Amino acid sequence: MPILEAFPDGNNIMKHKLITLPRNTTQLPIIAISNSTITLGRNGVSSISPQTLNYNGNNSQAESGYIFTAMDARLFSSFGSGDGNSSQNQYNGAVKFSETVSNLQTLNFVTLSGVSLFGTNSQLITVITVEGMDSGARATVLVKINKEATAINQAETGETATVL
Amino acid sequence: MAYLESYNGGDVVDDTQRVVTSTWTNNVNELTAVFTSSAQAVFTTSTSKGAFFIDVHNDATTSSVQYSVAYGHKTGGGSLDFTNTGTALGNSPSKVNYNQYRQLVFGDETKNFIFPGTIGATDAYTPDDIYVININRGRYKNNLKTSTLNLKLSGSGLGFLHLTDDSITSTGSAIITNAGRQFNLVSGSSGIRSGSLTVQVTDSGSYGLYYPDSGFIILNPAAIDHHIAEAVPTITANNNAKNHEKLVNVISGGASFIVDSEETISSKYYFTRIKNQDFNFTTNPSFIDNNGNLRYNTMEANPKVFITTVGLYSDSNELVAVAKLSQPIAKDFSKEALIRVKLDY
Repeated sequence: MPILEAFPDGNNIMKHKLITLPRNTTQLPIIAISNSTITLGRNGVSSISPQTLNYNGNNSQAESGYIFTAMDARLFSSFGSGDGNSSQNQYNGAVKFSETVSNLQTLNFVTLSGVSLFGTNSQLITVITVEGMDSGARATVLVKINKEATAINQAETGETATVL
Repeated sequence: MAYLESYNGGDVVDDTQRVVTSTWTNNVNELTAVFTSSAQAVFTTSTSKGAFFIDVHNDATTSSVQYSVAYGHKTGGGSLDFTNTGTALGNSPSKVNYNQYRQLVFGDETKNFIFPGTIGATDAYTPDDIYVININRGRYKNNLKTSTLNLKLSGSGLGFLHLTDDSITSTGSAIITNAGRQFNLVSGSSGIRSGSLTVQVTDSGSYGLYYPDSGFIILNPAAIDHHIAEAVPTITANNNAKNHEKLVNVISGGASFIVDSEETISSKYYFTRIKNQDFNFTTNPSFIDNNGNLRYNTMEANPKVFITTVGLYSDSNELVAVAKLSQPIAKDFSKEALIRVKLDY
């Protein structure tokens, strides 16, 4: 197994955390998100409202907040902005490639408006990771953005979010 | 929070240490070789790079500059003028060098270097010119360490000089300049002067001045050439005399240059105490099934996990530092751990 050098990027290191729970616990907290895949067009608007299962003995509970990270922030014209959260960005040179917002119950985002990033591709795909600020549980949501600026903001349902 | 534990006041301890290392490439303590690059040491015109300074390397690959040698003259003697006309007479690399270093040390271009450095002293000497040895900035840390300087020069005449600073002999007597502390360069070794006088050569002052905080040495040509004939500079105006090459040659003849560098490392120790009831579960997906149930029944009473990394988070829940363990530590309800995280900066 490759050993990663120590570097403080929460997207790559400290993904799986040790957590403190009472002895004889049989179920660990997991994050449930209604849509594990969201498909949008350009300028598409959507939101993610996670719930934490098995936390503090409750089947479904919102934590004090969630941390949302867009792995490719270039694909969003708005990512949790204006919601009173704190934001962290990772840059590759001058290009922002990931953005993290924290202390949110619901993430609102808008996809990009331009077509230059698409090139010849008809669709761009990125991942939004969701992490419970209390439980440390993690889930991911796949976001697919169509080049066509369709007015349909489609959410694929019937799937459970992938828990990492 | 289930995965975060706050440090208490007694868990975080500050510490500061001074670390001394060799200055030269590959941590070599004594630099004996002197290599120059024909590509850099070009003296063709007054604006050639070599007309200002000569880079000295540790080996023939000339890939790593150890220090540079320059010659400065107050009125521009000993090097070609940039434009030898009536209005620009004497504007030459040697004048630029002299002005640069007195600007660094005194903050203006009107004061002159005085050896042994005490302005107004009866035996002080104010020459028109200087030699400069400038340690490459990438080779030393915070500063050069005093009392480690041992520079040997060799040539004909009296033939040999072993130079050092007088930081031990004259403890506490450093003059503070714009370039930091200033010590005298004297005959001796490892910060201890031979003899009782700072004046090393009658009517010529000390051998030079040492600026450990800025990483350069100013040499007094009049005192040096009293011992070593090859170090006599030619001071004629508009003359491509290559005086700094003469100093390179006598350093090469001495074949011994030792000076250490010094660094202040501030450390913070985080004593991370993991109690028996803490951190016995993991969010690793291999631990649970899709519904969050523990994957193995044997884990229900006493789950076993391994600590591989300690993450330090800010108050706003941002991961700011991580510490990796050399090997994982097993953890369950019957074990406690104390991990000391050292953060250097």
